[in-house]
Amino acid sequence: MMRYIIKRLGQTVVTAIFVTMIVFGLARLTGDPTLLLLPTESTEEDRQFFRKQLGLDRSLPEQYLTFMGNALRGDLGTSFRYREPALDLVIDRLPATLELAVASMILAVLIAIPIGVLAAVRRGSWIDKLARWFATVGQSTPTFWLGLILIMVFAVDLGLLPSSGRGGLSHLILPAVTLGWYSAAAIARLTRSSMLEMMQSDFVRFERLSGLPEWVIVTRHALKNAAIPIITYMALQFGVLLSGAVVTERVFAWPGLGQMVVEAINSRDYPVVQAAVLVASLLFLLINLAVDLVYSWLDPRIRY
Amino acid sequence: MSVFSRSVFAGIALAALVAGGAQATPDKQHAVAAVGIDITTGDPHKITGGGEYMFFSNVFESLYGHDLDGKLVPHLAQSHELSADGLTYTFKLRPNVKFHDGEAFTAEDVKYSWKRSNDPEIKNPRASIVTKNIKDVEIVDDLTVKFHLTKPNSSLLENLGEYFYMVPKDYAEKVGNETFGKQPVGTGPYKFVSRRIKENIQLEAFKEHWGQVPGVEKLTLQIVPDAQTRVAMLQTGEADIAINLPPQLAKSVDAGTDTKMVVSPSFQNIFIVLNMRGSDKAFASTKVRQALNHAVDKQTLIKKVMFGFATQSTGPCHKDIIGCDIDREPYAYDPKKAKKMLEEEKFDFSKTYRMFGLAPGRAAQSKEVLEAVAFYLNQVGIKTETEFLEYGAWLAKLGAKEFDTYGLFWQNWTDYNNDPMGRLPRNIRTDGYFSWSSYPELDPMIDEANSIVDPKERREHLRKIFTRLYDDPPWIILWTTDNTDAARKNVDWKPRANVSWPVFWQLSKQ
Repeated sequence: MMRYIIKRLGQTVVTAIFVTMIVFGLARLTGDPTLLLLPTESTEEDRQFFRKQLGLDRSLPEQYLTFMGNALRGDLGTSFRYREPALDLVIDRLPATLELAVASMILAVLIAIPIGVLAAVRRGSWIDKLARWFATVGQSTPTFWLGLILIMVFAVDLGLLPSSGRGGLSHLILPAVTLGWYSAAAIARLTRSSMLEMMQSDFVRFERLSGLPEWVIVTRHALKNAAIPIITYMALQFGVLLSGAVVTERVFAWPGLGQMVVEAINSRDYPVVQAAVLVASLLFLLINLAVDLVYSWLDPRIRY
Repeated sequence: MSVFSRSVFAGIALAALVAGGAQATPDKQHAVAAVGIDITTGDPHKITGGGEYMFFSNVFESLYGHDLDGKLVPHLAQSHELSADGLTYTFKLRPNVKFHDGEAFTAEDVKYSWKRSNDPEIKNPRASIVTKNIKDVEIVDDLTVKFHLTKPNSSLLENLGEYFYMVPKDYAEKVGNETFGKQPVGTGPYKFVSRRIKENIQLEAFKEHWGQVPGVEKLTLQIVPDAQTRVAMLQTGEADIAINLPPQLAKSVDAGTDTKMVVSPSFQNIFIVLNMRGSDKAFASTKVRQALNHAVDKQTLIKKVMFGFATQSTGPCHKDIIGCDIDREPYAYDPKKAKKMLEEEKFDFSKTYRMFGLAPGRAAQSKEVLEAVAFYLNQVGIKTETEFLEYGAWLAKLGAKEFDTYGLFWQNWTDYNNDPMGRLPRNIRTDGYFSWSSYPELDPMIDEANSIVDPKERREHLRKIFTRLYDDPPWIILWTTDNTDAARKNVDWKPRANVSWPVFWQLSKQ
């Protein structure tokens, strides 16, 4: 197991390096940052000065090597826009994004798993129909629209919750529901189909014949075996939540990483884009590693 | 108590706890303004864009500035004299002015601010407008300074308020440039307290301000990128003011029982640039460009696309810009006349003319305006193809000057004050960075404008330029937009006229 973990960590580092190369190149394809960093009164001489100051007058390979050399020392560059260390800006915003993503995922799981299980166990019933409707509607509802509707109803009309910003639990509810809605629908759908497969399997039939209570069969045996694809999907969804948070963060003025990255891309703030993508990709890779390790707990047959 | 009752009680308590954070508690001494963008720095010698003045105009000042009606008035100076040759300004500074840290403002600070503004380490992107043209700042006494210029600069007084802010010498030298940008100190009606990047900026009223002390003790600039969310915050009371709302939201704000629109004029000009330098000479002819000005129904566009929040321009700028009060009437909508003029000029109707514009999100209705203009051009037989670019790509396209690819494009330009010399060299002069025009005979007139010392003579000189730009228009001249902000009804706020950023000097809550 330890060898497996070390091997995966090594793969993570290699993947991260590839990610930096791709992001580094793509960021620079977006255009000249001095056009946006400097006011329109600036002369070409001013722009040249800034390009030199930011190291943009050097060749791309030279810039990349400098970036990687500094990155190994934990220095991911200075934001062109805010003149603060890019990594500091990213780390400062990350907790807010993680808070939102985790809350959304918890909400999604709490809603989706029971719905999916009930729909499978009561196949064909009104519960099953409601669950399938929920899955369809949930996956076709635009996040932006949902967020604004929730604000209008719960903040403006009913005055029950704040409309935006980050604060206590009350501030988290609407953005978490907005962001988690799609995931809940998708997880519910997957749970239902995975459970249906398990409920028809031989071992479940055997357990019924053995006289085990149905709820024990469903929750302790069928669900556990159905969990692997669900957990795989949840891990992938977490990456989607991190990126999907961009829209939710904008609607709710949530001070997360997504908004900062979008602004950084729009203003050609390469260091912030690079730092944010690197941190997000490392996070995503580590989550996937954790998920792989959870498999072996769920299914003793899986050994690394 | 039964288990059920306890559960219900706990549920109600939890709901109350959660919902307790829903509505803001009214606080007469604390105002919250929801704004769409953040600043990049607190250093007034590193300003990069117009939006940042929502901070700088409230925290910093210069020797001269503008009042809430947009008139040029003395600020940190009380008076000035200009030598006959236009090369020396003598300023008498206002006595008893303090910086936010309690230090007195003196001539030393003026000289230091000038030096710092031109410091190569800071590389102030706006130094070329005012401070670079000052050869030396001479300290006569604590309250008198002289600016010795390299050449006459008749724009200087108008531009001081936006391009040359005063900073405290002792404090700035003590903390260094980097810290000064994070903990700025000025003389303005508000002093900086704290900032969380992309979240908020906290300001406090400066009670020892020499002029007007704001009516609130604290002001929070809350960064809220989405306009709908800014409106929602206003409606719930989480914000007292919402800045820069799209004009189509005005109706819902005015319909609210507790909210109102706050509309003020700006010098943001909107126009469609006509490429005078394409090798096909499609828009080189004066009559063709006049025809296009007749082809577009600007009043209808103002009513239907801008929802009434714009004022049609006659000349290529607002009439309050120096020299732009020309003796002309706005181009009338007359598509028949337009078509006739185009035919007389043998305009090539067989060609499709490519246009580019700004994608939504940055300027109100930018996409809708260009689409509507394309409609009017199509009505007179001109075939068009439009594309929309995000801001960085649009800006790059402007400067790239692909004269043989694009015939027209949407543009906006904001005059920061009544002086037009920020714009004419860049937009009209043949080698101007954003110029797609060609007026060889106007270039020397533009160059000369700042050398004319007598204000009346200068105004007349500029009027000639603008009259020419009306008679031989480089653009389809459209309008200047209004600032569409909003506030709660218990808020008494007078914004500054003729700027595109919010100024909170006169603000109080009932």
